[in-house]
Amino acid sequence: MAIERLGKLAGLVALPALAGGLYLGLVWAPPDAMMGDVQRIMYVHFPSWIATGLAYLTAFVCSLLYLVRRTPRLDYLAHAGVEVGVLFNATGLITGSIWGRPTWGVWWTWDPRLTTTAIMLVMFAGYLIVRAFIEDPDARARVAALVGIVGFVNVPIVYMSVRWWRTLHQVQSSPSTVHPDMVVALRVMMVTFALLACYLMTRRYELARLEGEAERAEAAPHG
Amino acid sequence: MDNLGFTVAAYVATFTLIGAYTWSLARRVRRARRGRSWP
Repeated sequence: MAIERLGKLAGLVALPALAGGLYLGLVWAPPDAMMGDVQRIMYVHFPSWIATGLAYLTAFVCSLLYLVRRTPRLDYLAHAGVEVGVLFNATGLITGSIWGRPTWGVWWTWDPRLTTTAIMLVMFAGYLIVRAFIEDPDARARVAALVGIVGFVNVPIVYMSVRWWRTLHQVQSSPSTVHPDMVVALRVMMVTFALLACYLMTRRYELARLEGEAERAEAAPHG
Repeated sequence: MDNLGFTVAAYVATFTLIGAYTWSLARRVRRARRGRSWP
């Protein structure tokens, strides 16, 4: 499978990229003038959201295409996108919470950005739960595609939340206002996390494909 | 816990989760390839 080979390639590139990104983020980039070393959390926090967005976008596009074409492989890839998206959604929330304690003084607050990302996690975790409760593969894929599409509606709301309701979480930074060394470290980690997400999605796709093939073979009438 | 402690905690949490998921996924793929998912 071409997609699985591409995923393995992404994984192979991600490993040295991760080593380089960790060096850049933890050693090479300067500490923030106000926050000190705690700002280095940015190099895993923001890339987590890049990976989350990429994974959920994959799930959204594949869910839409599934409803048009009804190809099981689109359903497998949508499933993979949601599962990997939930993983990075969780790392984004956890690192944000750990960053929030020394900078805001709280582990958690019902700020619109935090609240919408938490809702996003719950909605996509719901997608995985819904899948687990439907036995028929076609009905499961159809319902999951609908949940995936509805769930994705929240993604642009998450992105815009810091502009629409300006409270505690900062708005998106511009590279022009950040030290160039920080920008390099952040970009390397963003690419690394995107590659990791691609690798994990293709592995999860492979698993869904194997499970789907076995399930359909079992359901087929035996001669 | 000083600032560096928070940073270390964030990195450890992130890569523990990603590592655990990757390991679990690899195990599930191996099992599915051997056809043991549906005994």
